[in-house]
Parts: sequence; structure tokens; C-alpha cells
Amino acid sequence: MLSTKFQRQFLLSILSKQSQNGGRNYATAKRFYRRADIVQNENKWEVTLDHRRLKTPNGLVFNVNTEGLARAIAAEWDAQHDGISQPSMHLTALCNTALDNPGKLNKHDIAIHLLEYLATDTVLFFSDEEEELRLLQEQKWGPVLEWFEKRFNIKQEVSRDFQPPPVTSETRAVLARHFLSYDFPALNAMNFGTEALKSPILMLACVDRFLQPKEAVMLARLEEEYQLQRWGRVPWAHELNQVELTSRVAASLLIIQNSTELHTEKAKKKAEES
Amino acid sequence: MASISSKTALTTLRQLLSELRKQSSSPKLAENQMARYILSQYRKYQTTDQQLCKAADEMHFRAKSYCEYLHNARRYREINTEFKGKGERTVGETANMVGFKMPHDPK
Repeated sequence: MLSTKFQRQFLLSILSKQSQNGGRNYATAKRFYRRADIVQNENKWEVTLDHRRLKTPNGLVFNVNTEGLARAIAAEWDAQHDGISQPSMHLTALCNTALDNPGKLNKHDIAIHLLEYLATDTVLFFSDEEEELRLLQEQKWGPVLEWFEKRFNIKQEVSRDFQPPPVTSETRAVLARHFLSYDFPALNAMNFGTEALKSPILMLACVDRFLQPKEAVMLARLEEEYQLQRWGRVPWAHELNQVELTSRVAASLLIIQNSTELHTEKAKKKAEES
Repeated sequence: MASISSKTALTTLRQLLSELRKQSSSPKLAENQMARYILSQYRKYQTTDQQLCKAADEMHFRAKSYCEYLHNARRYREINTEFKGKGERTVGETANMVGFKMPHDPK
């Protein structure tokens, strides 16, 4: 996603740091600030580390629209103790992507991507090999699919083999309209959550408060969980994966909630003016 | 389940504060800006979270999402540090393991 110039700089910085400590660890920045706090600037909120303003990787001043989100991001920076582990700071990363837009995407690109994704949604593929797993999938995924059809007033077929199920043009139209009703940061976050869950349907269910992030991740990993009952659970693989996905989904959900909140506030102000 | 002062919502509050205490760099929770903000939000929506045209349960759902984010991000870091590999061995170390010496080492 980064431009090649930035990529090269990044690689160089990693390589130079690696050679310093014997090539053993990844480059991590040390915590260089004491306090992470927020300041309000006009109607935007900025995060400060001591007296410095936080910036995005492209050098823009980092700002968000609501106080709650700014505070959550300041808390995220405050939670970095010795080194700053940026890969696990999803809220910051999502806001950075929305501000910098390194992929040069617009809302339509993301909406199209999500619609393409729908045909390969995890919860549309039922097992054709194991009867027991299929029953479990029907029991767990059934209510979600039912919710999905009812919520958008559409019909969606499922697949029992590798062939993706057909998605009608009507479904695409309804969902496209729904996706485009979100603003860019929210859609970007929706994409991030969808890629974690491998399922637009589960992500929509989370956004609609039908599922909690924890439950959605459980449903996305249903087959894995089923296999775990038989083969055992390894914390550094399965649990790590589970907590990572849950934190990703919860982070994207927070961003989406944040921008929908803003929209309802805006809508109300307009009504008062008129 | 409309009010945020219901029992489940207060459980979430307790979990949230506990997560913040585990992650925050200052020992006192009263100094933590996020903890103060959460408490003020809880007070604001104490009677009902349906005011300001919010759907029933919306604030509680948000609190739960944030709590899950904090909890899982912390667990991720914990598991990662617990099982983190040390990276690759250097050529010298590998040579040492099998009883060889580097060309520039004294015989």
C-alpha cells in the first residue's frame, strides 16, 4: 500500500536497526513520551504525546471527529509501555488509513470490493464432507443468515461445495446503497473488519448490533473451533488468532459507531435549522 | 435492557475500568483521562441511553465493544510476548553449535 519511496525508507530503517542489535529483533520504537492526551482544535480532536501533536505516517496532523474516539486513541498510546507496538494499535491505524488514504481509494471502490466479497462469504459455505460440522453450521449460521435476509429484505442462497452461490443484482443494489450510506472512515473500517472475519454478513450483523465482536469471530472460526474439539487447542496459534481477530473487529466497530453517531447528530442539527 | 445503569451495563463498566487499570501507564485510575471520560458518559446516560435519538442499548453496546477491544488487544500482546521467538541465529552462533569456527576466528 505504501509508495515505493516510503517502503524503501521503512526497509532501510528496519535493516539499520537490525544490524545494530545483531539482526535478532524487529525494529520497535521506544516510548518517547510521558502523557498521551487530547486537545480540541475547532471541531476536531487531536491527540498529543506530551506537547507534540500526533501525526499520520504521511505527515498530516492526526485528527478525529469525536472526543470519545480521540480519548480512546490517546488511551491506546498510553497503553504502550516500553516499546510502541504499532501493529496492535488498530484504532490509530484505521484513523491513519482514513486520513492518508494510501491506497487512493474512494467509497465506491470499497463498496464494490465488499460486494465482490459477498459471494465468497464464510457463512455461505456449508461443509459437504462432515455431517456433524454441517449441522453445527446450520445451527449457528442459520440465525445470522435469517437476520441478513430479513434485515435487507433479500434472499441469499448458500453453497455446499466450492462453487460460490449466486448473488442477485437486487441484493447487490440493496447492499451497495447500504454501504454507500457510510462515510469513508466507516467504510474503510468495515472493510478491515470484513477481512478479519472473512465475511461481510457477519460484519454487517455486528454493525447492526445483532452480534457482538466476540460472537462474530466465533462464527467466523466455526470450523476451526469444531476441529479444535478433536485435535486440541494451541494458545500461540488458535488463541492468538482469536484474540487478534476480535480486537480487529471491535476496533473497526468502534470507528463505525463513531461516524454513525456523528451523522445522526448532523442530521438533527439540520432539522433544527430548517 | 434500556438503561445503562442496569446490572449488565455496570458489569461492563467494571470490566472496562479493570482493563484500563491494567494498560494505563499511570497507577492511579483517577488520573486516567479515558476512565474519567467513561464515567462521565455513564453518568450522562444514567437514566436511559435512548435520549439523543440513540437506539436502545446503543451506548451499552459501544461500551462492550470498547471493552472487548481493550481486552483482546491486551491478550494479544501477552500471548505474543509469552511465545515470541528470538529470531534467527547468527552465522557465528550456528557455526558454534556444530563445532565450526568462523574464518576470522583464531584457531
